[in-house]
Amino acid sequence: MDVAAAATPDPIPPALRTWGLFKRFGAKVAVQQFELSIPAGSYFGIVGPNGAGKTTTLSMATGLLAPDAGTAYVHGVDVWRDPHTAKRQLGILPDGFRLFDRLTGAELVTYAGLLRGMDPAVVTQRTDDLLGVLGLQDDAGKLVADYSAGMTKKIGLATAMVHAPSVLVLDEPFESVDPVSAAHIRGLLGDFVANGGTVVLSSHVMELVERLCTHVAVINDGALVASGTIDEVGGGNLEARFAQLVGATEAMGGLPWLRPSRD
Amino acid sequence: MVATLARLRFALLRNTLLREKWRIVLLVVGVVYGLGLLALGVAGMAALNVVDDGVRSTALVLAGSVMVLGWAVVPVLAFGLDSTLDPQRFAVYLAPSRRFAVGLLLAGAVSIPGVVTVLLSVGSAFAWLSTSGTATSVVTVLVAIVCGVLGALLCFLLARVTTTAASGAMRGRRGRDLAGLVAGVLVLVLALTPSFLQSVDLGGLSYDAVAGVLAWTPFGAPWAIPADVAAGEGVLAVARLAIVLATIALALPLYQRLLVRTMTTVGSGGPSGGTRSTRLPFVARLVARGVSPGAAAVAARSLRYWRGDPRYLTQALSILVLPVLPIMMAFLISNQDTGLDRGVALGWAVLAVGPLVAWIGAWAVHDDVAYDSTAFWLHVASDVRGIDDRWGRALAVLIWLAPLTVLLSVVLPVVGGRAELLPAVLGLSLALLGTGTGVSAVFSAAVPYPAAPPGSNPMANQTGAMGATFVAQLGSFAVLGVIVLPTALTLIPVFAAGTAWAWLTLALGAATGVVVAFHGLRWGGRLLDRRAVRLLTTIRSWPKH
Repeated sequence: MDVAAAATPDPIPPALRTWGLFKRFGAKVAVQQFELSIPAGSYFGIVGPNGAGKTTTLSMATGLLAPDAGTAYVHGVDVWRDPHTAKRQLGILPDGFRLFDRLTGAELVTYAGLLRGMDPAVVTQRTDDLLGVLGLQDDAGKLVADYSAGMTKKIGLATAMVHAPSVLVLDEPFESVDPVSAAHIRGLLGDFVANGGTVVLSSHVMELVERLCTHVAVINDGALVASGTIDEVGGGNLEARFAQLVGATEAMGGLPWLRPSRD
Repeated sequence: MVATLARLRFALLRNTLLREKWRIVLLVVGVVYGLGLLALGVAGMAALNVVDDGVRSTALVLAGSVMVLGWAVVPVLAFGLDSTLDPQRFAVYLAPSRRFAVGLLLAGAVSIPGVVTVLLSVGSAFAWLSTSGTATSVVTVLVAIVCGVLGALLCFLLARVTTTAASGAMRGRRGRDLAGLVAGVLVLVLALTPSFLQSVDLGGLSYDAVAGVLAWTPFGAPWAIPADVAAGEGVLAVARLAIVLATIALALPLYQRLLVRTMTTVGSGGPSGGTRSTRLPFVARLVARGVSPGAAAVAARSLRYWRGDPRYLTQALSILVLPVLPIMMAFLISNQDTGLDRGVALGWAVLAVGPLVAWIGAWAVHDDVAYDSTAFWLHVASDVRGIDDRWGRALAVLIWLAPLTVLLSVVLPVVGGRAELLPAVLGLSLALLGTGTGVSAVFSAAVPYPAAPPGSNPMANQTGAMGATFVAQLGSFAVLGVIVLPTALTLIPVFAAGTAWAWLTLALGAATGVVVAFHGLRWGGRLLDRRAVRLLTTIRSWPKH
């Protein structure tokens, strides 16, 4: 993967760029205007404390939630002006949404492919390939409702990839995923980026982002706090830098009564 | 323990009411309903004072048995509606114990149905007041009070036994699916039972005989004892009391053991479901016939849901069961009193079946997107064309509903001996089918309202967003009625002038159906193209979706 090339300013538009996104739920401002630029070919991590606005930002950037103001561009195409072209290049795994879980795993991936208007024969072939790579071939005929959390994430990832998008936007792809499934997912994503694809993922596990990603953005209170390559932002210790950026205070010390009881 | 659990219930109720104000309305309705039931019960007991002992006993045993049976069955089927006393929720905080078991049992009585049950059970002593004055009668009333307490205890105990026994299965999808389906069927059956009992002659089966058998089961025994005492049948009374006490003595330890099992195991324990298809049905055939892959996929997915999702299955069942209503009506109104011939009445009634199936079936999907719940994001993210979405959902219904409607509309007039009316019946059916399809396509895109979320109890009341619910249900019904009205009006010359006019009904009905379906699907598709994201946001705002 060519990190240097991805980091230098480039005439080609970024894979994903948000511009002035703003969202308010009642009195609470969830996302304030900020510009986030995700270079093509990068493995981009978005981190932030719970409730920082990661999911809201990604939903607005991928066309699932209408922003109050601002917009997002996928390879220069406005998601809200020309959703048809933009969404063709996007593969998304949102967090907190259901799947059509009364379908079997293979049926769900097939469904996602056909909804994109793909040829049925191609969809069948790709479904088999995806299930094989993700280690789901034995569970292809089981209802998604009966899947474990890790299997559900994997089948969600398969539905995001079946139409061969150029940008994958994944909200918490490793949450509640067992180590074996996580390895499957990491392998697939690594391969995707190595072949020129762009991966955007949100997480609150710093160690994971530091290990996987080339770039990182830190969001706090609906605003962008820092953005750049892992080294630029983290300087060798993303966890400490993150705590500093989001203004986390030092641990307050222990509770005097919290001792193992001896009886 | 009882006090703690009861306080917990009140605290949970108060917090729910503060958060969701509209639930206060439900609570008030529940209280009014409970009071009404109580008043009805008391009036019934008072009335029983003037009938002879045999009738009184039969009535009490039948009513009491229904109540005990209800407590044993309904809470299992009402899973997920009130889980404040779900033992699994307490498993983290305390170990199962006798005190906790008894606490849960009695806290279950702290509810509107619980209080009504206790009052009615103990109040059954009222029915024996008229015989008071003699020493036996005072004893009878006292016995009735004690038996009422035992009966109420039996209700709560059986409810805990059945819900706790089923709780393992209810943790799995299959158990919940089955219970939801059974609940749906039961609601349908209960809705039809009164007219069924009126229309069908039970022959030799008398209420006394049924009560006689029930009085020897745990369901009816508590309510039969006072009658035995009043009749001076001491041995019978003791035997029945033994049945009641033995049931309690057996059920109590059983309940405790089930409670321990439930609180110390995780997972459903049941099989997780076998291997099924890995290919969506009909897609290849539909695509081969010129349907776009998107629409074919939506149709295939919807068909899977019609076949496997309890929420759709209960709807499909009601489509098949509700047309029985006109036939029952025919039975009801044709008897010696009205002088109507039963054969003639039935001949007319079967004509309504085809149009009724078309009407209910096509209207059933007027809130289809709400059934997808937030899984609808996949349609938004894939930028599915609105018209494909509409077509697919309509196809999934029409594929089986259209042949069924045509079959019923053709065969039943012939069988009923009114073949000359066939074109009129078919015309009305086609108008309802096509118009229902078109109207549903528009309304499910324009006015979605909260439906039972996937995997939940299909009978769960979704009372949020009452405005949208009201507009969508009444609006779609009214619009459908207005559009079908011209076709229905052509029935006047059919009956007034001659059956040759039936061909006009067929022509107008078929034209109405085709035109409205076509334009409804197109309009619904355009609405969806514009509103899909807003629709998804609306669905996300619903509780539990």
